Amino acid sequence: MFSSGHLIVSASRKIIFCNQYVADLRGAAKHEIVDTSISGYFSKASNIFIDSYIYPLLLRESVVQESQIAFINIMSKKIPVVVNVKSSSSGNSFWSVYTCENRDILQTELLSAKKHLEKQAQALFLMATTDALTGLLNRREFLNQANKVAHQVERNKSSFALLFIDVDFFKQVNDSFGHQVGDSVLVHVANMLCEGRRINDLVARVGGEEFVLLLADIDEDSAFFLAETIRERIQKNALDHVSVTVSIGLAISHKGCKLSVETLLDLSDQALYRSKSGGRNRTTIADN
Amino acid sequence: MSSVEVRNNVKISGINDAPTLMLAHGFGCDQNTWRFKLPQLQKCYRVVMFDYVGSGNSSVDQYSVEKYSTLEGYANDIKDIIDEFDLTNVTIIAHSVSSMIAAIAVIDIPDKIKSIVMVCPSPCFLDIPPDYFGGFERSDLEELIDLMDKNYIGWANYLAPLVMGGANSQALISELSGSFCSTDPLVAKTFAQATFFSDHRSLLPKIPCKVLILQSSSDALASLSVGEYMSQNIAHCDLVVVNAEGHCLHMTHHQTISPRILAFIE
Repeated sequence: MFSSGHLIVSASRKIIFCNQYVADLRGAAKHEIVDTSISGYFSKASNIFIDSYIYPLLLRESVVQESQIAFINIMSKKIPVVVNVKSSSSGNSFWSVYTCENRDILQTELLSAKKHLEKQAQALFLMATTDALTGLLNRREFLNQANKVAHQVERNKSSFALLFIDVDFFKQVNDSFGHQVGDSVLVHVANMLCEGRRINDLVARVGGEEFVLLLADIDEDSAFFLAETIRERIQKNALDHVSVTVSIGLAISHKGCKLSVETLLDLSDQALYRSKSGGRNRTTIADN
Repeated sequence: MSSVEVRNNVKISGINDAPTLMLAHGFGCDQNTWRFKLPQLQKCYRVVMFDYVGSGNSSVDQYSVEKYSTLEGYANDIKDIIDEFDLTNVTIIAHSVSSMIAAIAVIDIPDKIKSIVMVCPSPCFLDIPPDYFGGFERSDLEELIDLMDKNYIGWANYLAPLVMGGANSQALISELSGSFCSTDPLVAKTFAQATFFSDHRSLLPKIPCKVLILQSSSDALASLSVGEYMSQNIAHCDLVVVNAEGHCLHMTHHQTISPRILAFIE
């Protein structure tokens, strides 16, 4: 037969009555339990939970159902219990208590599995959307986010710029210094691209030594200035005596003109080509 | 209605030209916990009540875990409301963790906040030996987060009947919306982490205004030594220990504390 513990608790939190179930659970006699404070029968954390959730809710709703907390017995052992609490106009509250060890174990396992899955999902999301070496967005995620930014910019009747950036003579860096150094250089360049980045800007690695930078809400002159600032910064900041330069192609979506991100990528790529054939280490603006 | 008014479910009542009181609720609840105190305060003061974003009837879509994972985020709600309604000479009556939230606010905008009444406050819940005993070990607080996780289902079930349902329940929802005490489980957990794992003792000496602390003689969340510590470290502070049990004096012993509060405000 199902049995449960019953407690009557006064407004001043003293136990007025308890049944044998509670006494057995506690490991004490009923008379030892009566007239003591209820907070001595639950763990500290449970007391926080009782004081900040159960009691305030009780004062407003008169019933709080199925709360799982931890009962403490005379040996200070924590026992998971479920409590149902009902208040009365007299200010007393009626507690029904039953142990739930199995439920507790099951819930703990479920919660732990849930947390584990959440972590895995996060890790997978990062793997799917970012470049492993530099931590920048990968091409797919860049396009995904860029389209959203483009729509936003269009709604704001503003403009945005795309910078297509390619490291000059990168193959030579790899051949001369090895791939590890080559990778470090790419990370170094990526970091410098992120410097001074504004909240709506996007930075991505879209190829071996190719990067794209989207600058939201910006006009052509400012975009060109920023591109040149980046270019000079990279030129002046060698990594362990390995110095590189970048060529940049810049395309702007002008106010009111509905060019897609893909089109702008093409245009900035063409402008990048002109930077390369024009001598490298420079920024060229696309004409559109 | 302004956006801050809607966002924080701000309710202003009482006497327009009288001194301004701002009632700041604690962890786990919303402005309805002040309903016992409200009638008396409305008679003599201009009373501003609100819900922190994520609690009560605030705009949940304005909630961000990042913003509200530290007490500074909640202090910003207070500052925004003071700003929005051009409040001056405000006395904040703050329950529990709102005491520290109010402290953060007054340090930031000292010219707007005149005084603070702290009901059952604590600047730090952790035991930090050798001198400070907030009352809890880290494992206790971790158990609390665990309990919140485990009770998530009960919480969610409580909210569920009102979340589901068609046009009819809208009326029911708006009627019952005032009677919510629990918040969304993720919001509550974030609030709990911001509240229970932080150490705000360093703020105490910086509080520029006068402070009244009302403490229970038996509060599982704030022992008498915590009250002592606070009154010793706040420059202008009165400490009153009320012979009572529990952490919600403004609900369970609202009549007892009224004269103290009124005397302090004058």
